[in-house]
Amino acid sequence: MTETEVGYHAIRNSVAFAEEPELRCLQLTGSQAFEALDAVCPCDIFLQDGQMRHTLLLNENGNPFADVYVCREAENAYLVGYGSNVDEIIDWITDHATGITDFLITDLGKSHANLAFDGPYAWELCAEVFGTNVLGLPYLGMLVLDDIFIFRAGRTGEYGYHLLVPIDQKNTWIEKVLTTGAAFEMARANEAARAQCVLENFFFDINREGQYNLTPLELQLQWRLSKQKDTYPGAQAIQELRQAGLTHRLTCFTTPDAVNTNAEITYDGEIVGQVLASGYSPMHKNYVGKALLRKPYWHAGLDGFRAEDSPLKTISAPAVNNLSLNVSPYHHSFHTRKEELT
Amino acid sequence: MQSNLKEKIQQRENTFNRVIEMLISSLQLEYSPDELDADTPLFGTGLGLDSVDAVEVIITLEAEFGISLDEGDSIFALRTINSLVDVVMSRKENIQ
Repeated sequence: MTETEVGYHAIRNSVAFAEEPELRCLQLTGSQAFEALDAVCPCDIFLQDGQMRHTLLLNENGNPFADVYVCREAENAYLVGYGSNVDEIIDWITDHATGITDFLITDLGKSHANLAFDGPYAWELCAEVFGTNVLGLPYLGMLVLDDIFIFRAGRTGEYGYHLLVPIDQKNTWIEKVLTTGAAFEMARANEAARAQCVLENFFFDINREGQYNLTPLELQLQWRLSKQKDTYPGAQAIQELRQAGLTHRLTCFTTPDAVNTNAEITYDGEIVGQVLASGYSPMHKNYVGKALLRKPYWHAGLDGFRAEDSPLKTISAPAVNNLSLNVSPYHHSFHTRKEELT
Repeated sequence: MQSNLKEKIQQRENTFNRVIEMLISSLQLEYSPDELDADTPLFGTGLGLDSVDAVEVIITLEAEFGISLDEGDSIFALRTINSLVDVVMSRKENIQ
């Protein structure tokens, strides 16, 4: 198997580990930390202690330039996610938090290293390495343990954890992870392996469809926007598009053959859309992808499309059924999985 | 557009609209139909439903469409709005 296949297999069946320098993590402190986030984020910012919420950062045209979670731990706010670079995000927040001054943004990437764990048994490995408090962490929850920041959130459809460990402890933790991980058939997952899982589960990928100047409406990400707020950056563009009505939408598809990004999609010889991303899915045993399709061709469950001479059909997302849906930290264990899941 | 494709799209839209109406009314969601995207996850992220909501959806699905889900079905049927539409379409034909 290739390195990517090994990583993919671990994400889908056991647990995969990755160092993830591309993850941004900003800590906002000060009496107006949450006001600053509220001014720039399109989601609601009222969060309970330890809670995370998935949202986006939008430019004035309503196009996402970062895929982020907003989080609360005690009196501190956090912005964790992908896209853009840290300095640009910090400058952008500062520029758009008009009239809000009592907050300080700290880039935790300068003091901490990010270790990511994904897989149906990620919870079990993390509990063995970092302590059993991990087991009680709900999905979209965070906690801080001895200067280690733990965020439970993933993009692969499996259990996912991001851990920020102090940089001077990084090698010690990685050694411990590798030693403990052997009993879990853990493998390192490269970016290609993780991106394929993101694609199969139809999670937003800032590096793929995020490069096409689409809005959350076309991306089927309206749930990441507040229903109450209308003053965040990009809100006016979103409102205008809602009034004008959508003409295209992102849709999940499968095809038996490889198709190139940007390939035209036709129906009866008429161009009805474009491939934005695709990749082979070992679980689906087909290529799966994301297409931008014209209304009304954007519905799931339609066949008869073609892309580069290959048949293509639209499907409901996600394209795969994740093993994690059948695995519970309260009832299962990697070590007894063969008896439990048969 | 071919008439059989038109029919398929119409049937999908009808089912989708009925599923959306069912979700909004049974769960008292503060969304308008236009604000709910087809591939929105139902649990965790997305609509952020919980296990109590899941029971409500299963009961309403039976009352509204005469469809019963067993435990094995429901894990996958309740992933997104679209997956719920798939289940309804696979078990009920010609929804008007």
